[in-house]
Amino acid sequence: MRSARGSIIIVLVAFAILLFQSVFSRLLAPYPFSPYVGLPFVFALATAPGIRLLRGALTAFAIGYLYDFFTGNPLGLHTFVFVVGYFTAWLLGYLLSFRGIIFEMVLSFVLTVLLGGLLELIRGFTPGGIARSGGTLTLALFASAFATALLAPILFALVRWVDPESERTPS
Amino acid sequence: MNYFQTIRDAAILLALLIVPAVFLRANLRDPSELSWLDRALLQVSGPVQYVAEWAADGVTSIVEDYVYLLDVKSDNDHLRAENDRLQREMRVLRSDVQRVRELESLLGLRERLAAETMTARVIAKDISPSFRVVRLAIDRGEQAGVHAGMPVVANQGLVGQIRRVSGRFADVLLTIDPESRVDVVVGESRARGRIEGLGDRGRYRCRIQFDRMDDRVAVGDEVFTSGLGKKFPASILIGTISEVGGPELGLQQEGEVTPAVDFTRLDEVLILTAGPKDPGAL
Repeated sequence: MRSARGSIIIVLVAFAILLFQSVFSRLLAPYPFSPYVGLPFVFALATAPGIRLLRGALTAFAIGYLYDFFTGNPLGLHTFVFVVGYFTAWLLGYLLSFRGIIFEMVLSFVLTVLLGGLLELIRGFTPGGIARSGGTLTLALFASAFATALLAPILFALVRWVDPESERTPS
Repeated sequence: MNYFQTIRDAAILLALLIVPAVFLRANLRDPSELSWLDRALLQVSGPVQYVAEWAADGVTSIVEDYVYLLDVKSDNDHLRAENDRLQREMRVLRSDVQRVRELESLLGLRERLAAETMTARVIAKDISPSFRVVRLAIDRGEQAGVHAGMPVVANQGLVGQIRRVSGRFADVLLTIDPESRVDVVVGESRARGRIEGLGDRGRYRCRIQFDRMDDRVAVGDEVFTSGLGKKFPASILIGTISEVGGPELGLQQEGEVTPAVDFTRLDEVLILTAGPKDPGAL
């Protein structure tokens, strides 16, 4: 019950931050340095020792679902990418033993580039979608991943603060 | 965790991947190529997505309006400060305009006097309890070549004469001062006489004594300097006769003169540093 409440709070916090970003993005993070603020939440859930795989995946699903609703993207786009990102981060967290701020930043950067690429790839199949040139797309992806990596330690810490259970290693 | 739970979790995890992928597929397909499953999924997701977008737009709109209001407040503060600054500048400019008019007026007077003059600014006024000016100080003194006895005039007429000078300042003896004596002539009748200040601290008045008993003068006649004694140039307006009385002791005709100069409003004056080149210029 406590873990469900933690997940709900994480989803609401992610939603609030997305709202904040959508309002202040022009001031705080001008294009192309627009971070994917939802992704570090998903990565934090995936690499937290105290969060079960199923619970983390459901939370990532909910965050992605809210993203789709809120951003007006085709329903399922962020949901799918966030769940894929969750599984990928979980796998990397399972394979790699080290943790810390550097790990959080590098993980966020690499996965944001990959998942951002996946997002753009899927968008490319959208009827009437906006096609962007390779150079523009690469610049946008890397700049966005860089901004996301900078924010990642804060968002990881936020998840730990919101849900202290996530840090507890299961017995 | 038992075997059943493991299977259940795996199924749910798989569903979490497949469900969004299926919805995504339905959303991304060209509307002309939709299958019955795609149509069913869009039928389910469409209204939900519409309501969610409407709610999200509402929230964004409220937050953006609030941010906009913050900008308006900032703009208001800025405009208010700008308005205060412009009001201050306007007051200064009005004061400057008034001063320029006075200077232009003095310039005209200087040309009319055709005498050597010097402009001076009034820097101090002694005010009586009845709010009448009883003494003036100006910003020209010995260093500027000012000497006691030099006439002081304003655009309206005679102010008085220099009483005392110090390094950079001078005191002016006003025509209304009891120590002031000026030989005068009345405009139309050419009656001659002399005026002296009454020293009345409640009003600006001078006493005029006419040389002859039979001089025909009337209230409203203008009184000018006569030029006698060469202390003051001739024909400088002093004021108008405001009262004409009979001879108190049967010797002289007397009256009262109201000065033309409003001493309260004096800011700039001219000092006549040398006699007029053309007496009778004013």
